[in-house]
Amino acid sequence: MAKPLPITNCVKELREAMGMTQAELGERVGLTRQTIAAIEQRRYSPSLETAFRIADTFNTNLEAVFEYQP
Amino acid sequence: MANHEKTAWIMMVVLLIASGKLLQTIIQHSETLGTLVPPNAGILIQYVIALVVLSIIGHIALAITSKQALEKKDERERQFEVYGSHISGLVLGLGCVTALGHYLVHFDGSLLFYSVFAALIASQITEYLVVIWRHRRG
Repeated sequence: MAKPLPITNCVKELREAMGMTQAELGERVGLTRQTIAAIEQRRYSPSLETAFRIADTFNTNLEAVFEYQP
Repeated sequence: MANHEKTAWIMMVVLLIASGKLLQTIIQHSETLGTLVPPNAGILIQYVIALVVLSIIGHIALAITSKQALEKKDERERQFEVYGSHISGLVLGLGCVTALGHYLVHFDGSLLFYSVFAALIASQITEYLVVIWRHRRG
């Protein structure tokens, strides 16, 4: 299995708290369900613009969703 | 399975079927002639038509069976495609250089044509394989 990427996130927790599915979140931010799953599992780091869109969907700021852990 | 991955599978299978049939035709004609058959526009046009028809059938089948079929590629899938194109370009370059090197030794124009054509097919199959692998790997 590939090493997780250095950017951690709490997308799964925030998504579940809002009662959204991966597909619904994906539709709102312009990603596929598979890409949302990859972000949640730290297999893919989204672009800055997408990261902002995800944070905006959760009505929070970027730092509350994503964190850099080298 | 993502729609983008399904498309790569369909296109790879279509390309393998059409190319396999082309190879079979070339071998049959070459056996009849007793030497490598020179490149023939008729055979290649049949190949292109088969490729286009099978691709259309595959995509129609995908559109019927998958509600995601009309979705655009997202940023992650575009990255996979760029990486696939990069590796595919390397395979094509290597194949062409090998074919040209072979021509310098043997001066066989027909074989040069087929070698470059094979490199083109191999590079496209490589691109589909890389896209599928990247989807599987995450």
